[in-house]
Amino acid sequence: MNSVDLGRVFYRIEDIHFLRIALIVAAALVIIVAVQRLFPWVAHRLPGRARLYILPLVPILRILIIIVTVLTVTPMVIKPTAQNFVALFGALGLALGFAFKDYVSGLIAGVVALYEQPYRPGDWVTVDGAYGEIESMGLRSFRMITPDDTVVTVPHSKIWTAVIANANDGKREHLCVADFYLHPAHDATAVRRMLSDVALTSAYLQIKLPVQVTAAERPWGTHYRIKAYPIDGRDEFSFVTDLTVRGKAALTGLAVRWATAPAAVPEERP
Amino acid sequence: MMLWSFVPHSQFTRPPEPAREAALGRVRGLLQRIGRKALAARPVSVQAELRSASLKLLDRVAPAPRWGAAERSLEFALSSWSGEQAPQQNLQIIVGPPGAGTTTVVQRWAERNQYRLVQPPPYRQLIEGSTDWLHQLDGDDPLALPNLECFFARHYRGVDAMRRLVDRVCNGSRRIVVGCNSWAWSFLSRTVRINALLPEPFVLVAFDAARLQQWLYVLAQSTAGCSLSFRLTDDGSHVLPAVENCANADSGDLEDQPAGADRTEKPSSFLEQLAARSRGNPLVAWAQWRQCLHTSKDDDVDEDAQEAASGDNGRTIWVRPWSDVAMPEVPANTAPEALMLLHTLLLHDGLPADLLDLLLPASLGGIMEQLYRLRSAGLVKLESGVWRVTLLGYPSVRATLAGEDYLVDGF
Repeated sequence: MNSVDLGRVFYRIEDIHFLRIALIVAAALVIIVAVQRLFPWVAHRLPGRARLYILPLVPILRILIIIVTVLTVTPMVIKPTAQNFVALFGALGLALGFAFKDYVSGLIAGVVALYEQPYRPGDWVTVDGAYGEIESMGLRSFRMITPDDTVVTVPHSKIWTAVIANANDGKREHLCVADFYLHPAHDATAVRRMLSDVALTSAYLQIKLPVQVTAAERPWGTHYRIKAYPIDGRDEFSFVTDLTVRGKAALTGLAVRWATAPAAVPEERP
Repeated sequence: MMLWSFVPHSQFTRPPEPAREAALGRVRGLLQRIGRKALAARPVSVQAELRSASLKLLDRVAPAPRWGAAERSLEFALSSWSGEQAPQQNLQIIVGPPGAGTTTVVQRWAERNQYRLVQPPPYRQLIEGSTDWLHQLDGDDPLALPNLECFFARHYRGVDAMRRLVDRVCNGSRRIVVGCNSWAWSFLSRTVRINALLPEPFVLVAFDAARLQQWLYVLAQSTAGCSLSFRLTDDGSHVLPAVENCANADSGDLEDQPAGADRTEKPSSFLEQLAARSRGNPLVAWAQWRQCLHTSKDDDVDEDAQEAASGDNGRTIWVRPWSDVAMPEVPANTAPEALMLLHTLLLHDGLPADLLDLLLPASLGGIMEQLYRLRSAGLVKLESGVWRVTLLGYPSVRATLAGEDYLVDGF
């Protein structure tokens, strides 16, 4: 573009209110930071289910604030004609497409994720073998905390190609499984009933949701699974531990033998 | 209107809360929850800023209820069943929330009607899987189990014990009357399907504003020994009809008799709120009522209220408006372990600490720490070695557990 074309597109330097633009951008940043801090703070103080309605609002509000800020600031710099906008955004698109295509892909994937909601803050997801709770969603990526307290940053662009498994999909509770491996010589009916009672009497159990005990025969013995929901999905590991510890105590009381050979290999979690 | 009345569970309805107060209460609760401090480690006096009435005065104007009238009402409810030679259903179930006096009423009814009382086994026997105690059910004489919640423990062997008990109770033709805590009833309905195996229970009808007006009036009348007026401290309006002087009488006889005041007088909005806040639970309402009573110096009462009271006969008892009364509340960010503990206490209508160790996924030390914190907040108390949720703390505990998706009772 030559200086004449630029003169048609942009206002003159002396006509641009840089201070006002700076104030608008600063205000937008302050609001975004406030939302990112205030909403999680409020969410953690409210009854359990409310948290899962409030947390997903953060990335939505952030993108709305950014859009409003861009729409407010742009007409202060560029003469608002259709021709100018087409020229500017065309040039921008060309530049970004080559130089920052992965970054832009992540940004667009982030917008798609907000709309389609394959995941949201508070969800427990598995991506490329990493499993954890989504703590926050940024523009380009989201952060999740694994059970080992490791922070994993996953770009939104993963939704184009990877399989993302969501354990709770916005709900407070998600299915947990405790496995038991027994020697095949035992009373299966008594074991199933005992394991069912173990689950029904767990202090973590969401008793309004069903409890199921499944059994599958394997070459080395019988594989039992207690499938149940905790009241709060964040207690997943405490819940499974409780089921396992009390289940083992209950089965020991039934004088069942544990599977020994070959070594019991837990099935991969999907 | 019969003050105490038992109805089938499906006919139970809670007193409504005035819409404006309900909306304000939710907003207030939300703001309190967001701004409330965490459970303090040191004891905090719940009534630090209040000067409540002395115990002596409270026992005169709001004495502990006796259950004579409730027992007579149960007698009336079961009279046709008792009189049948061969009833269609040999079982009668009475369910009530903490504070409805279910165990006491069923026990007294059973003693009067010569039903043999079945004693619950020690909890450790239930947890160890012992079934010796089931021999109490041998025979064909009429039986009463006033406290079914004491016949199970939330333990994999404790639930099995309940199945065996229900099996013995259902398979027979002898008459059996069972009383059960509503929280245990909800839990057992989910675990052993007790609601499908046993007949629909009777429940005490909820104490709405009109019933509370009658009951609190009669309680005051029975022991006051002088004329009384109950007025709000902010505007001096009457909360109850003025109590006329009368000789002391057994409140158990008076609780279901018409009082001297105009029975059609519309209950005050204070009583409507009392009914809603206590969820129609008589003992909870009684505890909250006592909490609101106040003997004040003049500087605590508005001038308009004092002027309104100047013409009262006898003594004026001041009642704090709801905006000035603090009830025990479950603090924000209460640990999940504390909520589990509260839920367990409600399921069993109280437990000793050493048994909580067997039923909860926490150490005894951690449980004791939680109990002391909850006691400091006025939410639990220790009575004869048993920890229970307090009557005053019950509404907040129930609301918190419901908000956190715990299984709650149907009251």
